[in-house]
Amino acid sequence: MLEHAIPALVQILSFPTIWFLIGGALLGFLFGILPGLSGPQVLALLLPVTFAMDSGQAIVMLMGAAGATAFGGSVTAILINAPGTAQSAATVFDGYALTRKGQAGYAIGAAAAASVLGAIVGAAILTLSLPLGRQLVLAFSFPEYFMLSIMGLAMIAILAQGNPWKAILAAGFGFSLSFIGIDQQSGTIRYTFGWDYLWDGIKLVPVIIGLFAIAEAISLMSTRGAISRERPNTTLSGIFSGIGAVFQNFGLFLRSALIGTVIGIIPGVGGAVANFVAYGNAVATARDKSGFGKGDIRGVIAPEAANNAKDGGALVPTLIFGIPGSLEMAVLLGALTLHGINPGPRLMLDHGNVALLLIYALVLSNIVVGIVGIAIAKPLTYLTSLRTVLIAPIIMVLGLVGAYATNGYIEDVIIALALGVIGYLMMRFNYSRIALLIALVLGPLLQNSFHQTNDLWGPVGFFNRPISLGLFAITVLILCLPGLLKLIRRARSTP
Amino acid sequence: MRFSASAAVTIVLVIFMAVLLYVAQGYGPRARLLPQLLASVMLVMALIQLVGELFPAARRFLPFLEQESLIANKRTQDISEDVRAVMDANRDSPADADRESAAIGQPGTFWMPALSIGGMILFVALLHYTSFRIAVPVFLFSFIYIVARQTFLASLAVAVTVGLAMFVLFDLVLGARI
Repeated sequence: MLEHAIPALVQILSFPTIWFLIGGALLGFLFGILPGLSGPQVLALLLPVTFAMDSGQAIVMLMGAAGATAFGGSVTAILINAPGTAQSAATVFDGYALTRKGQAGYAIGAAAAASVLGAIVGAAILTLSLPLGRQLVLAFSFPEYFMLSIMGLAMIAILAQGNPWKAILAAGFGFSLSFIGIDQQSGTIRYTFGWDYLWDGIKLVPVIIGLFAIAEAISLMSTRGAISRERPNTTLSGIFSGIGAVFQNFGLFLRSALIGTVIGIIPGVGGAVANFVAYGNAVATARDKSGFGKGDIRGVIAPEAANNAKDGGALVPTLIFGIPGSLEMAVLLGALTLHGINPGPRLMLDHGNVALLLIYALVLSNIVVGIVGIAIAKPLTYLTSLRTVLIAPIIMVLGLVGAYATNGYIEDVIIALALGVIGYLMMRFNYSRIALLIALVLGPLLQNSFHQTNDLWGPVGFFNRPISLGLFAITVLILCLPGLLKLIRRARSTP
Repeated sequence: MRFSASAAVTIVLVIFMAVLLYVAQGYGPRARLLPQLLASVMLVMALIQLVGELFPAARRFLPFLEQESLIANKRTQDISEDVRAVMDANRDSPADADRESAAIGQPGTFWMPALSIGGMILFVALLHYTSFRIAVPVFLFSFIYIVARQTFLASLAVAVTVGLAMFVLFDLVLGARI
């Protein structure tokens, strides 16, 4: 991996790649500020724009955008009491309390420093984990790939937000969509119903745009009015004191960043949980708890460190196993696939520089928004007074025209719209969109590895290799975990 | 029996899986193996889901239908009594709850989503028969003015600005042939 370290750094710092990184980071920051919109939406809308780009520049821009949304959400959480993204929700408690005390600059400074340093901690752990990918390549064959995909889907269903039963149904629906088109194993044309467009299967770009941009736009239309009418009426002084506060509470920062990274590694969980767990840990372990909720800087540092460190953590399963750690990573995984890069155990062998580009982009995007964000944070909060009925139609046309621009097929637009409606219904009735997307992305790998294992070793082939059997056992354990925990709780409660 | 919108969605899912299973019969053994396997399991799961939605009393015997995720559940948000106390102290006005709902995009009434979907269908038709240079400003102006009920000037300003920006992005910068 070291052989790629310098060339990747040179590539990301060279022109015009650095401009794509900065552009992506600023767009991500902007989407983070707008409540209701966050990483998946900016990635879905950027995807068609990056289609014609060099793959290195495209992934730098996408990662830059994904990495910057968290801080954008924190700025509005601190200044106007409206978290731009769910992953900044816990920052409101003490961040806005500080603003009310006239210490907004102090809170913003601490948030920026905790975000940048948190991202560095997450990226460092990711870097240390990547060599594991090389080792896995040697041990993995078709049964392991099959079991790994099944295990990833089981983890997302059981651990991600919502009802696991519905998440499994969503995954099943996504997997069934991957049957459409020419079957690579038998050459049979399946489920096209005479529509030639479907011969190549359901394409990822319109699916991602539909599920994340169009669905969100429909949902935004339901929430009429502006997101927040509150305006920051404070000066942003004390920024450097805020940065210093992170170093004064370095133990808390490091603990929170590690919590964020570990939560990020668990597939499907994401930043919305990371920031609450880190905040809870900060409160629970503090000697003096009296200041929390009234403007304690530790209540800003902990969630901010966690929600930025989780991106590095979320990249660990995404890059090593091809199983995304968060919703943003699910979209990013689809984007990487479209640019001919298949995340998974072979990534470090085939595209070692890509992993490093992603790590650099993650860290640099946080530095860019940490600096630029402080300067433009206050005026940008006025964007939240834009009415959602003005924002939503713009997202609709950007999404649909983006889907059209990718290949020039009107059918892509129809698929994006159909998936938008499905995505909206899934949001409304609590079905997991991440499970659908991952199952669709993993579908071809699942089908191919299933048939290859069956052809080579028969049905026992799935179970007579130690790693494959181990992965199967973990999958069963994950699926039985809710029931097992219930039994344990019941046994404990009975005297 | 209680019929709800959620049950209607599940019925669509049941039909989808049944069609998947039925159509698979026409393929060769290798091509139909996985679709049949998946559709059979999903059909049973979707039917169980449907029973739970149509007959709320049956949910007592199907506890997994109401189970929350192990980690990303509501309980995660009250890690300790201290955190809950802090949350309660902060949640001091109904406006806060409104903003929080807005932040996570709570669904609203039936008509706005329906009008949005209808508007987008018309936009797709317009996009197909004209070009995005015409379709984008026409859709934006009419949608914002008629559906979103904004002023004539605001609608026109958004339509022209976004139309121009998209022309620059897709036509001049990306050179998309659409």
